[in-house]
Amino acid sequence: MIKKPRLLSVLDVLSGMMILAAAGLVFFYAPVEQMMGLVQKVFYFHVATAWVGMLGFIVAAVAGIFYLAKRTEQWDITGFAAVEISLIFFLTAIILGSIWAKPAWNTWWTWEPRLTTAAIVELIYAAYLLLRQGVDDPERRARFSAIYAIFGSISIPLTFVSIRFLRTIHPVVIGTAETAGKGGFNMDSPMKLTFFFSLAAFTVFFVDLLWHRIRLGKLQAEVEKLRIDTYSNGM
Amino acid sequence: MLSRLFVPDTINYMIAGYVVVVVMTFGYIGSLILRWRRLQGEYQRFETLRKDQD
Repeated sequence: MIKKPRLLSVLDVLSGMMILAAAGLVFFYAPVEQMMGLVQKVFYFHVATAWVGMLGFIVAAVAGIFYLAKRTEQWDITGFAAVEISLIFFLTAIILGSIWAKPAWNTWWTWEPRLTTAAIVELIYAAYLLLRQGVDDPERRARFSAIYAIFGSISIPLTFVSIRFLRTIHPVVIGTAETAGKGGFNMDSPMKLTFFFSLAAFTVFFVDLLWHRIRLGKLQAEVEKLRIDTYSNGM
Repeated sequence: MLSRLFVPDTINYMIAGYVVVVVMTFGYIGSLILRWRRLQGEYQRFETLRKDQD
């Protein structure tokens, strides 16, 4: 039996409490935005999930670099775990953006730079999972995945800067007063607190999930080794 | 005061958004729990088989 570390249990409780607190701030503390109404409250978790998505893809690229340098299974498991979690969060961010877009832009989807690059990022990393499934040899699979994650991460800064340098209807929320003019909205202090607390809560939640997913990956590797041992001894 | 009267009613979109967050998050946590349990079962099965072989 693999024992759960005490620190992970603490992190479970902490991340759960932080997410609940973030939800509390969103619903009971942050004021209702006057132009968009209640749908603007989607914004806090929309940005937080997108941030965590991007963070995971960057973690996967870093894990890829470490794998290529050290060739240890640990880094392959970490990279795979980060991509899987990020795909979930990034997809959530895209869906939330679409729900927000309907009342704000009167359409669920439009092929403008931010939405298009976000969809491309999601597809790039969905292909990462397909790539892993398509290679049987574990060493080759880990090597290809590492290289793919490193090159795939180029799409992350492109998505981030797309709304700053290209003509777009997507608001620029993080930036200077100049960027706030590009379709953004002014956040007052309660909004800013809710926004940054949500980012922190989702970051802690991501670390918690990543740790769980890495443990799952290690268990999977253990089971695979046992399977090979059992069948090779039995033959 | 006047702007308060004209705040658009977008509560349904907000609810839909947070339903998506809950479904995606709990769906993923559920998948992690299920996979963990399945793998632990397999781990114990192979451990028992290996001990029997020894």
